[in-house]
Amino acid sequence: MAVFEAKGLSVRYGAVAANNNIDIALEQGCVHGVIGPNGAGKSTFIDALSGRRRPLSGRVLLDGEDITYRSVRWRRAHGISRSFQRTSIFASMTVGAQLAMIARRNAEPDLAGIIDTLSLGDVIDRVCGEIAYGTQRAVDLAIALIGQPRVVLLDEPCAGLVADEAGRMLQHVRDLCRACNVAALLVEHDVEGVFRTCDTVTVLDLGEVLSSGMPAQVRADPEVIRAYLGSAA
Amino acid sequence: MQTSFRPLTGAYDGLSIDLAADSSFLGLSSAHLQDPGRFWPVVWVPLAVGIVLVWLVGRSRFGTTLEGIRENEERMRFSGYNTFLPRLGAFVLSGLLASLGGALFALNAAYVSPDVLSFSQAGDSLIAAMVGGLGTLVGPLAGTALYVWGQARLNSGANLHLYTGIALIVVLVFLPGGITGTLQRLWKRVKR
Ligand SMILES: Nc1ncnc2c1ncn2[C@@H]1O[C@H](COP(=O)(O)OP(=O)(O)OP(=O)(O)O)[C@@H](O)[C@H]1O
Ligand SMILES: [Mg+2]
Repeated sequence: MAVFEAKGLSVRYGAVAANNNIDIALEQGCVHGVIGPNGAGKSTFIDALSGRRRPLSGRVLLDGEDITYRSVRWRRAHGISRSFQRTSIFASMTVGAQLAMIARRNAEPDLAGIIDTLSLGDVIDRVCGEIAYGTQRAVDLAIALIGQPRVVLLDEPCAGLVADEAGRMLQHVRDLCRACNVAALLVEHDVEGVFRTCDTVTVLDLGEVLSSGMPAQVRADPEVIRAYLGSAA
Repeated sequence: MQTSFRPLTGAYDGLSIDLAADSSFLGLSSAHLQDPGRFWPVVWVPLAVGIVLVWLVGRSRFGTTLEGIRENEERMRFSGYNTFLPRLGAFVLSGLLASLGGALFALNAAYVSPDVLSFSQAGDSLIAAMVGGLGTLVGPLAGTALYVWGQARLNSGANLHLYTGIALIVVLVFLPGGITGTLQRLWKRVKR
């Protein structure tokens, strides 16, 4: 059964329908990729799922229970965590201090393990604003992974990384989700990377679901090829 | 409104603090309150207690939470922190310290008027803190010491505000983090 679901979710900014009647279901231990052109409504979708923005209609379910209007803090306490498209860290604090701060709040039993997995041991005493951009993205991901979340919503964790860094980051996300039995929603621009790493994929366009299913199935969908992938696929 | 409260607030004329001839405050008569030699322990004890208090808060979990909120309020919320109560606590604490300073000032000056709150006066304490370095305990102390020293040495030509302005510009342009921030950075470079 799906741990985390959205049913008929719609979000509007004034007259702009940024999300229109979106359905999605996340399974434990699986990575669900969400792709789509700029402005398709991917970040808006994560905002609605994570409680940052109230949807106009539709429901968000955790274990079948309606949590659409639960607060951001309630969601985090119940295992729903997210990252942001723009790096969202604590620039003046050291890497170690900020991870410890988040770990304390979320009762993380194995912070050292997370630090190790994301190779942050070398920068643990550095001030976060002064380390390399790619490492900051790893800190950002670590913050989202602390506290053994059951659902993680990742908004372009590889944004701005060079190709092989991005590839490693995606690999990491998938391995972690499998190892810890986490349900992940991964918004990503790198279409090939998503098809390679995700178990299921949804394509958004103009706020609507264009196609959804197994990577191979979605890649072959004539609608997706026409509207999004173009001749490149 | 202004006139009906005039007896209470003194309006623009301000209020003077008159202790009756035979009464005293903390054992000090009004002449003693205005005598720097007599008044200084009344100032220094709260200052020392205030410094220790703020230092302890800065080192506590509460202090770390406040730093996190200052740096990135949204990420703190999405990490499960309540960000409203700590901010409220911080405002209450700084309001408490400021009011303590204000009360001591009033006792010593024996007179307060709305001028004390005008920006040219109240802003000076902000500028002193910025020159010294915000976000540290020593910064505002250093800035205030410099300000008081400058006030004593440079005020003869009534150019104090010119010097204050120059100090502020120099700090903003050349010394980000104020005096303490710059010293910290130099120290880091020396250590490496
Ligand atoms: N705060 C806002 N107010 C009004 N309109 C917004 C707001 N945020 C986003 N939009 C609009 O909603 C639509 C969806 O934006 P969203 O940021 O969700 O897209 P996205 O798929 O994440 O794009 P990108 O790939 O560039 O990150 C866009 O048309 C955008 O201009
Ligand atoms: Mg986006």
